Amino acid sequence: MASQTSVAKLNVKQRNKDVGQSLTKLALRRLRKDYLTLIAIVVIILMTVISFSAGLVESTLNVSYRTTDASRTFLPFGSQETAADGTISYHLLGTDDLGRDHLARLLYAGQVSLKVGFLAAILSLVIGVSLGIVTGFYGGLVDDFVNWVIATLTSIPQLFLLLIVAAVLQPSAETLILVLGFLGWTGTTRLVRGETLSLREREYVISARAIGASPLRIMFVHILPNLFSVIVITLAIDIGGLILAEAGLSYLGLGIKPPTPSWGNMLTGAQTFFALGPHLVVMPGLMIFITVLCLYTIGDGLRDAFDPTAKD
Amino acid sequence: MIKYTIRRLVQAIPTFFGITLFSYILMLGAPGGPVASLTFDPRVTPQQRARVAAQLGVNDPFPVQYLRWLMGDDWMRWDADGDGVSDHAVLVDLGLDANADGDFDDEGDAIYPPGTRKGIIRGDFGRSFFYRREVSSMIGERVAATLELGATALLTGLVIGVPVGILAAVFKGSFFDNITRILAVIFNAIPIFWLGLILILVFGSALGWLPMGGRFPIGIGLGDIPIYQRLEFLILPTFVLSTGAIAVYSRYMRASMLDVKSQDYMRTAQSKGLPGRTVWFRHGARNALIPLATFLGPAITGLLSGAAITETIFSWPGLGRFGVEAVTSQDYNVVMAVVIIGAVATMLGYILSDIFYAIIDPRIRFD
Repeated sequence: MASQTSVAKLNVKQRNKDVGQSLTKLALRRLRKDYLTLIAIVVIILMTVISFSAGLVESTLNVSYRTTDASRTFLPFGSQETAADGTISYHLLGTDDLGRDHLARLLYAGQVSLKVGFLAAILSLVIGVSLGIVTGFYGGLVDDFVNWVIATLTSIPQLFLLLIVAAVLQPSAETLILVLGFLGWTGTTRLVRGETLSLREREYVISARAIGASPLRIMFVHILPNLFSVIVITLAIDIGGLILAEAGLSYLGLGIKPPTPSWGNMLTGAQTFFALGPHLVVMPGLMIFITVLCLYTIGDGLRDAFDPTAKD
Repeated sequence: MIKYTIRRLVQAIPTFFGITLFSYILMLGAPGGPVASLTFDPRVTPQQRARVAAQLGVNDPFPVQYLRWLMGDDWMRWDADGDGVSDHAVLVDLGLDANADGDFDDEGDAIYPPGTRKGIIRGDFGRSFFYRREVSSMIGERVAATLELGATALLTGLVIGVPVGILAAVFKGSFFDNITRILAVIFNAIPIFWLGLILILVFGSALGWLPMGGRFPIGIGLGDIPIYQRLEFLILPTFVLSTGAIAVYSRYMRASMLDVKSQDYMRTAQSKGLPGRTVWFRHGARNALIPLATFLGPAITGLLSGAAITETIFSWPGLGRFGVEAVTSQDYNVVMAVVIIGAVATMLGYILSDIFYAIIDPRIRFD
């Protein structure tokens, strides 16, 4: 009896396996078992949600990210302060060199850093994918020209490139998104171009062409969906890389300018805080580190999940 | 081989042209600009400002300006009447020669007299607006520091990354493999300026074991002491700068090693009864190292970008920090020089790795 049911179970399993499943479905199924990636996704979502509800946190704890107060600088973790009118402020992560609440600043900085990372990554992805498809599909002069631009851009060390741009533009969150987006597409283009080169020789593309589909239709209806996995993986890793780039620039004083907080510029001049408030050095970097770590982990997890040669 | 090298160098010309054009166009949009920073003094009259502008040629059409910056303008003038003075010129206004009133002095002035520039192709990056000195000689003073740091970091990356990668592949799935994999992800994700700050905080400030920055002990001049006597100054910056390289090399080496593992000659070596060590290291690792040759170009870009940040944290007197400071002080000749030199170094790195690769794997030459 027992053996019979297990045989029946096995048959069901076997049958389920035989049912055709799309790569995306398979990937999602694999992802559901990849706890590390799932944790990373949850952390990123939590981080985003909390950052963007910074105002709520501020009013709950009765603190402010921009009110300076010389009498309460460098307060340690978990400080409480009773104002003259009896209201209590809870500085969970202490205060900074100007007496502003550190937690609130971290959250507002998170908004800026996450926004810059996400939007710049999306911008560079849109540019990178469209250029990659077009150059891979048409080849020829367009391809040569774009390759020349890529060779030029990749020859200039990224930070130096950003140095020139920072010198030219008055940096703000918006300009940084544009700059990082417009300079960061080269890797994606190369990747997508390579994929497109192989995809355009596939039977379904040839048959689409045979029934008279326009090049635009082939590129964006037939080829683009097949790039989905490449796009998702690139996006996750790009966001991480761009958050790092933004933080580096802001740290050097060439990115987001104070008083607008960003995780990078909160560390500018942090050497002077070593003795008084080491937490001011530790926390912003930890936030960058955790965010980027999660994004890279998600990227890696997605790559494994979308790998068609992977075994279940 | 010579043919391949030459072809590769010729291919680099359009890239070099692209780099100069791209950075020059970007720089044209920079605020302030040379005229503003040279005539910042409120006592400067509009006439003087106009003269400075004309000397710098900022009112000329873009292609002319670009040409002068790239190739110089000394060849644009000639001696028409045979009196030994080059007094005729194209595209250069000699009438506004700063020598006319005799106040041009070689060290103090930020502008060249028209018709004496050599152009960046011949290593003439003009003068720093801020320091009023030749940019090229100031770069020369800083190149050594960046080379020292970059080379040590690259070496550290290789010396740690390669063996770690090999071992991770040999013991695939082991504890060592997993822990190095996690460390590689961590090294990749950690913001290096923060890592630097924390290390200074721990080793420089709290423990006091290592200096908090700089390249020499305070009070000792440049170049006075050999590198082995100031290793303590190198430890932290090198570690910070090499984290990325260690992570990338170890992962890359592991993948390359696993690739090699499935090759026929590995199976042959195993089946003829060679000990595992010989199979892995003599047959495996040596072949797995080949693709690493292509990594020099990307490595240089990474190191230069990282150097700008690392040098700033550790007050290391190198090129990167010089560039960052120049952006802040709107010293555009310096910014351009640093960017162009960084780009050329990267380009040469890519060419060198291609040539290495072609030496190791002759099939490449005929692509």
